[in-house]
Amino acid sequence: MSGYRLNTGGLIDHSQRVRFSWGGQPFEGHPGDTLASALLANGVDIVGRSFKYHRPRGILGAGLEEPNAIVQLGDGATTIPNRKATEVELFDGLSASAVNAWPSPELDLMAVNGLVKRFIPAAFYYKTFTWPHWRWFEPAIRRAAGLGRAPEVADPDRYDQRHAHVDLLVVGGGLAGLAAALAAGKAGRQVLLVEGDALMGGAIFGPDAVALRAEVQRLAAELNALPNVTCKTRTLAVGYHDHNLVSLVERLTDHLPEHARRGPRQRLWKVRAQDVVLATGVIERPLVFDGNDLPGVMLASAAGLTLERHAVAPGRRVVLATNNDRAWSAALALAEAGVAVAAILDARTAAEPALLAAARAAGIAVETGTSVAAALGRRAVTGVRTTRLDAGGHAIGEGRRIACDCLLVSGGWNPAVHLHSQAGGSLGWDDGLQAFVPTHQPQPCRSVGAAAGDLDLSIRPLWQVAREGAAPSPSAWVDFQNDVTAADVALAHREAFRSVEHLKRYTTLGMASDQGKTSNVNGLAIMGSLQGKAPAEVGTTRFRPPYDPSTMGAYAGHRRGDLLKPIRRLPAHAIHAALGAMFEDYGPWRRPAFYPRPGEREAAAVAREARAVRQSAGLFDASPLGKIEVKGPDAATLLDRIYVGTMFTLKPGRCRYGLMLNEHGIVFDDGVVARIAEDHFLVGTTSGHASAVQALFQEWLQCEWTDLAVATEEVTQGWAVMNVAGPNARTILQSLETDIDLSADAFPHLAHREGRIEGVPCRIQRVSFSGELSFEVAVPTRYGPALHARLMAAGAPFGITPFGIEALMVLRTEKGFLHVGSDTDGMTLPQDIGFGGPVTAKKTDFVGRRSCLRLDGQRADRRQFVGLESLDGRLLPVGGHVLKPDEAAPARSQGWVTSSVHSPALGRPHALGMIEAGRARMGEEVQVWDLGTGYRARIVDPCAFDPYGVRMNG
Amino acid sequence: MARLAPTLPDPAPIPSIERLDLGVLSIRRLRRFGPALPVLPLSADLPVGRAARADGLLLVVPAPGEWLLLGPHARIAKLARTQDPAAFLVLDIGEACAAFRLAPALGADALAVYGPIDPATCVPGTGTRAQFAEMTALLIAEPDGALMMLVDAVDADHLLALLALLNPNS
Repeated sequence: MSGYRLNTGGLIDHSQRVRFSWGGQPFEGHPGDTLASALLANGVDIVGRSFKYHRPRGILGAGLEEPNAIVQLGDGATTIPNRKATEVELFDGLSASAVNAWPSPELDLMAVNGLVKRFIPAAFYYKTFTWPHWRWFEPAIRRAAGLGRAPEVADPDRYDQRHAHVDLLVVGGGLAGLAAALAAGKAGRQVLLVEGDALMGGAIFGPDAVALRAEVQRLAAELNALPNVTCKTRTLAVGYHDHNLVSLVERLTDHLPEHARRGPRQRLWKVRAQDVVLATGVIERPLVFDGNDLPGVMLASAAGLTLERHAVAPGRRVVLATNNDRAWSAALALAEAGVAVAAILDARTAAEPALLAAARAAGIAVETGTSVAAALGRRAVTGVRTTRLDAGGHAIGEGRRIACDCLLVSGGWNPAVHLHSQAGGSLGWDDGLQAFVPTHQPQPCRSVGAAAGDLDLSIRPLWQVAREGAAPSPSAWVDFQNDVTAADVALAHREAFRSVEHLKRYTTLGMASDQGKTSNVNGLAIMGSLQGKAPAEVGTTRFRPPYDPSTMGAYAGHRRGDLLKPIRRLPAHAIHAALGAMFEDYGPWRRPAFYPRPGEREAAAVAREARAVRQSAGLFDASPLGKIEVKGPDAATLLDRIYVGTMFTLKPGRCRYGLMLNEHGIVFDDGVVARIAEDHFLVGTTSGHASAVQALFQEWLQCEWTDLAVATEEVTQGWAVMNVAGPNARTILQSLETDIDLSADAFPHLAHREGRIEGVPCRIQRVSFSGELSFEVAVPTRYGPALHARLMAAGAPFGITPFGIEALMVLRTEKGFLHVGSDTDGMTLPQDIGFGGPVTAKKTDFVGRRSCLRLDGQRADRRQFVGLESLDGRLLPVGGHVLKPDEAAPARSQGWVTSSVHSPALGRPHALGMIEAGRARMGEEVQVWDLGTGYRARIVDPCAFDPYGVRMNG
Repeated sequence: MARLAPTLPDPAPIPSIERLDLGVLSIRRLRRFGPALPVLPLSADLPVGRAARADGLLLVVPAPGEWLLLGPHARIAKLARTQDPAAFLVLDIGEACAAFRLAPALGADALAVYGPIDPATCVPGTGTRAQFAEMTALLIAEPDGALMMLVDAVDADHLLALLALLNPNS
């Protein structure tokens, strides 16, 4: 034995050395080590500090249950916070450090929190930081809180994603998982077997380890020979979702030195499986007693695994405290490896003769009916104080003191039911195991092996080692990572947070990055004992993904930078760019917001563009406006059932504004509907909403109105649309070669014509969102750029000005034209925006009508669409709440500002808003309140410019 | 004679991807469950989710009562005129689409990186719609292992950027 490393054994390569650094100090380990095993081998006992009290903590577990050894890996752009040292495979050059400790885990200045521990129990901040205001304390608390550091620069690593479809997904590569996969594989099913660890086999340790390892190798070899079976290690199932979708995170290069890494770092798998087998094993529980968080206290299974896998002894003189027989094998294995095992303290009144004989042969003292009253030591375990237990499991009398540097604990075994729970499965209490086991599962998923509770176990329940009637101890830790003690659970009980869900949120029990894998059952059992309930009556919380912390990169995958989502560029994008457009993303489309001249600021550019449209002509690229062809003998019937207004009376060649609702009567979309022929319509939708409207049509046609003879097809991207608007729009358009008569008589407002322009097919609609004379000219997409250039050239003598979305918003706000999504929200009914007439007058039914006519929709005090005139000349803030003139916040909001612009045409600001009973309050003065500032305003008609539409209709 | 010059898409800048300049005819039956079949040079009586190629044309049936016919522009335009307007909504949506032919190395298996594509069902003779990396795509498996992808025209650049990451030659 060298340090804590055994000279032989384990699955490590003793002949090779791996150099790594911990907290800046150099260390060595061996290939096959984890960071945790290497630290243990080097005698590092304090590996981190607890979240709240900054108590020194050592390694407790050997896998993803580890609550203490939370580390920061690497530095710079590739750093990853909050990895568990027990899951980190050692490689040459690995750099790691403790989180939540400064300057080091051995000397952490924030440990001062421990001195005032009694004043900052669970939930203290809910009660303490309420006066004068939480905001005063929040910055300091946020600085002090949190574990680890997120990288501050972009991650240079690549993260991959894959989708897979299999007959059977087996989660867990222990014996049960291997056997399940083999059986299905031999039956010819497509099988994917995944194991989070680097090796198949699961938690193998103890006297049978060699034989079990051989069996694992045999099964793995058989599986590898089957072409229909795929086995993956380092692949952890982290989420179980509906329809048997399971998400896996595969660590591809994390275990390699940085210079050897090629390709993606991690891969997120989204697996659709016909069936799922969960063979996720069990997780050992610690015991709850005074000082159980001291470095040197370790789960018995962790010690067994560390010995078996890494040839590391957890200490030089070991005591085991257990309440079950399964933990004995760790002590026996340590003794066989030459480690001094001072005693086995078993809470059970009797142990199995075979175990007793084995312990006796190994020279281990055994005390039954005994447990550990306290772990002794200041910064690490130096000994334990034992106690006898009475028939009720309460501590009685003073026991003896045993010197040791490592205390192994085992309080029982919980089947790893997390994925079963995520899948929607329920849990039931098993008295034999003293643990929750999977019961009903609604998805095609089955737990097997230890995960299903298939475990030979002799156990005596022992939730806390304490005297009968004694107050739960503030030094007996339940949740190690979040510093929740038995006393905190009692506090929650006293303050009536007794449901398991309340207990969790009040104390943060189980809310740390280990998600309470070692703490949940102990915590709820202690709560149960305080209430006089069995754990089965207390129940447990539902587990949620991810099962184990995963990198954000794995979830983002390729979706970063420009690949985050498709960017939809206009057909004439290059032309807009050449014109100096400033682009912004509006919904899925990247569109010109405005076209600044050199040195011109946004407000000035927008005002200039809006002014040009009012005074002469502007050119707007309206290509993203949604376009849906609707054709068939029942086309008019379909649209009449969809729109609030009547559509079947629309004449061919004419257009009509239409408003559509969802089934709840809420405004869903609007646009112009053109009738091309008796059986053929062209539906216009808002930009970016065409697919949703097409989906709405299809839903009704496929599910409800299957008798209608009508087909719909979205054609938005087949057409480029240029909108010429302004007093000179007609003159400019007439200068192009077209067979369409554009005169006012032949082409009135709200008319639709088809023909040719400049030799290519076109559709022209005379519609206006600016309130000016306006033509929307649509040509096949490939001719869009040329049409834009041609119109700019034709309009040059008139000073035609390209205008962007922002100027259009100014123009439509001056006119009081509603913009769905800006001026409406998820509560807006048509009567709120002035469409109450059609709702009641229309003779035929339409989608959402019934909902509009509910009593709530008829309330006189509903928020209504109105205009707002600023009385002090200031721009009213969008989102500002409308109050009475003499009120100050906090006060009840009567509504809010939805759109607000500086109007060049009016020479003053103009705004739109939704205000309670607004239409009956014309002329009333109100106050708009925003972030502590009040603005005087008056309720007016939404339309502030050309109220009779002379310019638009002329 | 068109006086407006068309702006045509650039060819795909990736060796194993060919951008196709095809007419795309969408034919939708007005009566969803009616018996009418479009008159085509190849049998339109294909099951949903299947594709067939004949005489320089490729036919896909992505949904009941829907057919997509891909081929040279002139032939597509001619075939559009021969359909019964009383029975079908017939539109040449080639302007709205971008069509790509992906070499077998960029087949369904590789594309499973970006979307829930099951290579086992994406076998020659199939043509299915899929949500693919935030886009809607039509995937048509060719007999030689190549894959045709039809996406919205504005999504073409995004698709090419994604495929470039997969391309073994890039």
